[in-house]
This record gives sequence, structure tokens and C-alpha cells, in this order.
Amino acid sequence: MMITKHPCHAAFLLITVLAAMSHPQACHSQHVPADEQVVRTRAEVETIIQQMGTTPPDWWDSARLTYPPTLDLDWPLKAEGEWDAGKNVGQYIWDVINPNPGRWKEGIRLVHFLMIRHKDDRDKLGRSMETLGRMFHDLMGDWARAAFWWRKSMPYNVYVDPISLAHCYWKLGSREMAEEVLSTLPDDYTRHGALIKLWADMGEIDKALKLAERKAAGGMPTIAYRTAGDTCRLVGRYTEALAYYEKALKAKEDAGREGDVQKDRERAQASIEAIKVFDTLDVARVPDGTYRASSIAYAGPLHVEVIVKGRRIQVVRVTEHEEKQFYAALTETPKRIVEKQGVRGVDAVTGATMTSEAIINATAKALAGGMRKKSP
Amino acid sequence: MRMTSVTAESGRRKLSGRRLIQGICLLAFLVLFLYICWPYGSQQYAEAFRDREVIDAELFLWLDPLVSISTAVAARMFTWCLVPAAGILLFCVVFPRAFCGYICPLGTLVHGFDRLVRRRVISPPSRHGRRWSNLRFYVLAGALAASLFGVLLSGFVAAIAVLTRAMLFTLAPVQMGLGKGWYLVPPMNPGHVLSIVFFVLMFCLAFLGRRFWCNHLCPTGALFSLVNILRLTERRVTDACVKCGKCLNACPFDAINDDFSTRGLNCTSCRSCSRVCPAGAIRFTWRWGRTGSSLGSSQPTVSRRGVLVGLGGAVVTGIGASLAVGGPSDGDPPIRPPGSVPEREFLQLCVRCGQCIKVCPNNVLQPVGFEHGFDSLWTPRVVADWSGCEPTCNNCGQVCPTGAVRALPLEEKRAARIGLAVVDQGGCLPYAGREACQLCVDECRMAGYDAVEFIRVGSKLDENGRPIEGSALLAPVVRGDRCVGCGLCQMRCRAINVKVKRLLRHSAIRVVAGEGKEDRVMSGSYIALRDERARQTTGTPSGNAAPGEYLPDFLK
Repeated sequence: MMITKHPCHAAFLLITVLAAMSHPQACHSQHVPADEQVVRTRAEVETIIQQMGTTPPDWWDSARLTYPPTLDLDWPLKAEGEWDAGKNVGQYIWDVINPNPGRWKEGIRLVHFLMIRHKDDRDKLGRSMETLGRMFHDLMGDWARAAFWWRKSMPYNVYVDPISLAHCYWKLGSREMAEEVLSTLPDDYTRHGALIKLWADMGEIDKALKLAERKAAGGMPTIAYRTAGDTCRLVGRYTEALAYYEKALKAKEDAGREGDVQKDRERAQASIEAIKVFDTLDVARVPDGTYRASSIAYAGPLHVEVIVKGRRIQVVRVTEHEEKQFYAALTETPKRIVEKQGVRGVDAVTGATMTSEAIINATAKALAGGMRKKSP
Repeated sequence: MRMTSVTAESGRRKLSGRRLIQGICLLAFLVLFLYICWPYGSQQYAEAFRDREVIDAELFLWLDPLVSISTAVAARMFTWCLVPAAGILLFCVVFPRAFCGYICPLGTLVHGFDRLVRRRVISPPSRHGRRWSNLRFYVLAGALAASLFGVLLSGFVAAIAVLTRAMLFTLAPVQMGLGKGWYLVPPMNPGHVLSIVFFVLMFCLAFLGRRFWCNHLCPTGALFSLVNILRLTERRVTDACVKCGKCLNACPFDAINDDFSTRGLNCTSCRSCSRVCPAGAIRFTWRWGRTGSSLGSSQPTVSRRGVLVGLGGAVVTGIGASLAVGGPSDGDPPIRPPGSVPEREFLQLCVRCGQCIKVCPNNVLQPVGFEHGFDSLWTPRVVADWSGCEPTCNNCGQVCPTGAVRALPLEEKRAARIGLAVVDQGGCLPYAGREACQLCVDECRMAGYDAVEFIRVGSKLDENGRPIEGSALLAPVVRGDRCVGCGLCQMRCRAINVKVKRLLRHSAIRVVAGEGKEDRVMSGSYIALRDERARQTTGTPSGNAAPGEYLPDFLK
């Protein structure tokens, strides 16, 4: 049985499946079980914010302050003229700093430099401190410094996103402080369902699902149901998750932005695939037989053949590939899959990640095809 | 001192010492070429190679004195490979032309092939005419004269360079095909064909006579023959000689005159003659010793006309070669291996042996054909469409016998620029607005250079002039201060976007070499060059706030 006939199709599937895989797993890492989640008192969190907020991060001196000579350091509150990332600070941060992890630290140093430079201009000072908070939060995951700069910026009449601030408190260990902020938000009014996501991360699944239903009724059903699906998937409620994703695909949308809706539908579809291929994969439900599938590895398509017999994965074999190196993965990864009797928790071979992942992906797809065969 | 002689009886019974040494040398050559220069097994290529290289992989190339002398003359500089060359020449003053008789793996192969075909094709070894026997001196003179004019031709004729390259074009693809897969064997170009044809012809000379290549054409052998003028030992025939003539037929090097005296420039001390002598009349002894010697060596017979014709021909060759080359080649200049010296010196030092190409993992280095002109034939170049230069590898410089590619420590190699990646904004998927793609960025980050980074392109703005999230694509930008031109990005774009997805016809990011894009220096540190560049290019004001100023006063 050949599941993917055309490599292009395989490539597309792989990319979407991987994208969908990485998302909920990222959530997994944020959703630390209660016993691993740091718990701190309000006073402890306040101390941490004060202590860390007033001192530079350890990388501070190793990061150079550098920026293009064309940059307009006056950083007017509203950029004039055409979009020009070489001139306007905000656009420079958006186009050049944010997409490149290697530039994040120098970006923060630049904003800090501009904050000092404009310390006598209340509006610019407030805007700088808010930007610093956002960069520490979004780029560095430095929750204490993010909270510090955001709180310092508040008296200067700038808007600070309460959900992000609550997120900082939650990450720092104070559910109380987080809920205190979130309690002021009765509904999720965000484009990406940030409020629903945070409640879900904090383990309040019912609350998150209720908010999602309200958001759906309020006119943004695609993102609402997709986020609800993510919430259920996060805690292993796959049947419900699939139902929500299906709802997201079918929803009639009138309030959401067109581009967003399209992306949310794609992600819902990819999540459905990922659940079927990875999350609910069960070798015991795969009938005996030989299954084949392919995936894109480092240098080209990679084909595997999986033999299932007596509810066990007997053999995983790479039948075709174009790899030029990373040969270790070609034998090691199949061995690990057979040992684990599945693809979950199989580690990629060090230094051969892409080849390993392609083998894992193709094996999962082959087995999922086998499951589908049994129960169409 | 009397040197031992081997009697005919003992020679027939057991493997002769010469055969044994020849076998060991050939085996050593093959082990160096096939095993030590096989770069696979670990992804820490440099480390693995260092552990494997218990004997220098370029040993035999060093032992070919024509390789070092011709390159040193062409580039007009002292190269360290002259030291082993001097060593082997001195050695051959004591043991005349022992290189040819014992060491040279090409000679051993020619010898083996002779035996193979002579058994079947040629009946008794014919004593071919001596008309051609001085040709090799003219070949040598031509190669050296070309070197004097700054053109390196020895790569065409120097024994070990020819053999190494022939192995590269014949054995190496088979090794790759059987060892790793035939799809990993790069396609051939006309340069391959020419080299293989040369090599095959060299063996076909067996039909003209024994060791025809060695006796008549090989310039390396000719060089050793010239050294024979200074020889300290030689073959002598004592009065015990019964004039049976067996030695005449036994000598593979045409080194015995009809009166059984020795032709001093030809003899390789191989002792084939003493092995068959029924009277034990042949001795190898000190040249000026008094050991019973009725028949010494005849003087070389080189006519004045021969010398004049030879020198004249050599000068014409040299001038002709220097005129034939040096013209600018079409298109982009070839991308040379990391650590290559400036192009002019590179072409004068590179002996076209192909050892760097053999030791290069994934065949990033491939031989140039005729596309960059005659003078670049068989030189190594980076084919980034095929594969990229591994950041953990510095093998090419380690095996270069002449220093055309400098032997660099891994850290230096990772700083040495061989070119610069350039994004084709017309083709690149995000720039063209076709789809998101970050293959080159990821690849460069994984390689540890972090020289390709993102820029957001095509942002749509909302009514407030703020960018709409998700409206833009992230497109690659090459940082000239970090890119070394390894070509991994190009390989990956091609492997996925061109070959698998068929979205593009060529890789949308390509490495180009040329002035200002590569570091080509004879000496010095590439890390220092990089730091110097960084100092010059970061023209940004460094208003570095001191650590104490992190928290502004108004917040304290």
C-alpha cells in the first residue's frame, strides 16, 4: 500500500504535520503539571520582579549596541512617510530584529539606549519602556524583566497588554496575581485567542472552553474553535479536540480577518492530521501487513517500509533515500522505533535530526494509513 | 664494502625483496588513497581525519620530486615539500633510481600490466629501439621550462600526480558507488575523460615494450636518471661473466649494453640481472670501489644535437604554454577550496593530483573541466549545487602536497571565505511572494555561521499604518560579515525547492567567488582578516552605555 504517491504531496503533508506537531508540544512545555510549575507567594514574585528588573541580564555586556547608521534615532511616535525599515525604529525592530534570534539582544540594547536618550520626553519614554517589556516577554521569555518594564511604563499613559502581563505572573509562579489581572477580562477579544490559551495553560480547561464558546458566538468561531481544539489536545482529550477542529473548519465567519481565518483553518486541518498520525497512533489497532510512506529528509524524499505482525512493529526499513550524510540515523532511528513500538518519544539521532524526523514522520504516516485501512 | 648479491637460485625459490617492497609501496599508496582519504564515518570530519591520518596522506606525492620542484619553480618560492623531495633525491644518490625500481606505485602497476599482457600478447621481450629513450628528458625539460615561465604542466606527466588523479577518476567513483551509493557519484566532465584516456594509453604502451612509460616518457624517472650522474653505487660485472645474455633479457629498464656493461642513467638498482646471472658475476657496489670490476658503466650517450633540440623544444613549450594560458575565462571564477592561495599562485602550485577532491566529504570539491580555460583543467572547485562545504571539515588543506590549499586549523578554516552567497530576489520564494521558505536560514544556523538571516518583506499596513501580522513573508538576507561561502544554503535550496518540489529551476541562493568575496592569501590568519573586516564595516556609533547606567536615575 502506497500512501503518498507524489513526493510534493508528501512534502506538503510533512510541513503541515510538523507545524501542527510543534505547536501543541510547545504548549505542552508551557503547561507544566502542577507539581513542576513553580509556585511562589505574591511577595516572592514582587521581590523577583524588583531584583531582576533593576539589574541587567547576564548577557548584557556581551551584546553590542549596534544599528544601521541610517536609523532615525529620534524615533517619532508616529513614523512619517513610506515604510522604511532602515530608517524607522519600529519598522526596523519589526522587519529585522524580531525575525532573527541572533539580533534579539542587540535589539533590546538599542531600545534601552533610546529609552535613556529620550528620558525627558514622557511619551517616548513610556513607549520605550513598554517596548522593552514586550521584547523581554516575546523574545527572551524573561518574565521578571518584562513585568518590571511594563509596570514602570503604565504611569506614562501607554497600553500594556494585560494578558501578557498575567502570563508573566503565571510563569513567575503566582496564580493569584495572574487571575487578579485576568478577572478584569470577561471575554476573549483577541485575534489569536490569547486569553483562552492562557487559561488553558493554567489548567483551567472548562473556563477556557467556556470562553471559546462565547468567542464563537461573538462572531469569531474559527479561531475560537481552533483554540478550543488546542485546549482539548493539550490534555489528551483527542475526540473532543477533533470535534472542535471540525467545527473550526466548518464555521461561518463574519468578524475575523480574512487572512487570519485562512491560517486558522489550515492549522485546524494540520492538527487533525497530527492527532490522527501521531497522537492517537496505536500499533495494536494496525492489522498485519507491510505499509509504506515517505517524507522529506535533508536532501530529498525518504521512503520507509513498516512491517506489522501480531500487533507489533516488526521491522522499520528505509527503502529509498538521497541523503549524503547523517547515515547514523538510517539504522539507528528505525531501531529506536521498533524498541519503543511507536513513534512517540523517539529521540532524533544527534547530528542527524532531519533524517531522523523524516523516518519518524514517514513511519507514523505509514502506520496511520494502516489504522485507516481497518476503520475507514 | 661489498654489497650483497642475490643468486639466481634463491631468487626463483622465494619472493624477491624487490617485489615485496614494490607490493608494500603499492599497497601503502592504495591504503592512503582509499582508506585514509575516505572521509566518511564521523561527522566531525577534521577530528576523524586527524585520527586516521597516521601516515601523511600526501606521502607519495611528496616523494615525487618533480611535483615539488616544478611547483616551487613555477611559483618562485620555497615550499616545504622540497624537503622530502631533497630527501628522496639524496637517497637515490646512494641507491640509484631506487624510486623507480622499488617505490613508485605507478611503475609497479605498469610492471604488473606488462606481465599481464606480455604473457598473452607479446612473445619474447623485444629489444625495442633506443631511439625514444631520450624522450623522457625532453618531457622533463619541457615541464621545467614551462614552470620557469610560470606555467605548471607537470600535473600532466609527473608520475604520482598522474596516478593519484587517475585513481580519483577511476577507483574513487567505484568506491563511492559501492560504499555509499551510486547516486552520490558526481557526473563526469571532458576533463575526466581526457585524464582517463591518458591513463589507459600509458598502460597501452606496454605493447611497445617493457615499462615503456618508465623508460621513455616518465619525467619523474628522468629526474632520477639525472641524479644517477652523481650516484655513489652502481652495477658492476666481474670477470666471472660467461656472456650468456640472460641479464639482457631480464632487465626491465633497458639498462644493459650489448657488452653487458651498465647504462648508468637507466639502471634502477632493481637487481633483476643479478637474480638471473648463472655465474654470480653481477655486483652492486660502490661506484669508486675496487671490487672486481672489469665492466663498469658506459657514459650516457646524448648528442649535442639532442641537447640543443631538447632545450629549444623546452623553451618553445614554455613560451607556448605561457601564451596558451592566462586568458580570462568565461563566467564566474571557480570557487576554490578554503585556504587556497591567490589564484595566480594557486594555478602555479596546484599539481592537479586531485587528492583534495578525494578527501572532500560529499564531493563538494570537483575537478574543473575545460570551462575555465586550459590552465584550470583538473583543479578543484566547489560545486555548491552538489553539496556544501562541511563546517567540521578541513581535510582539503591537510592533504595538499604543495600548499596550493593551505593546511588550516578548523577554526581558521571556518573563517576563511571562499565566496559569498547571493540571493536571487527574482527566484527566492518569499521575495517573489510565492510561499514561506527558510531552508537557507536554517541551514546556515545549523552550520554555525548564522550568516543568512530574515527580513520581513511585503508587509501590508492597516489603516493606522501599522503592519498587519501575518501579512508578510520572511525572506533571507546574507550578512556579508559572516558568510564564508560554504554553499550549504545553495545545496539545500536546490535539493528541496528545485529537485523535490520543482518550484524553481535553479537554487535561489548561490555562492559567487571573486575579488572582495573571498580570502586568498599566501600566509596569515583568516580570523584576523575577519576581525579586521568587522572593524571596518560596523560603522555604527558605539554609544555603549556602561553597565552602571542600566537603570536610569529616575527609576532608582
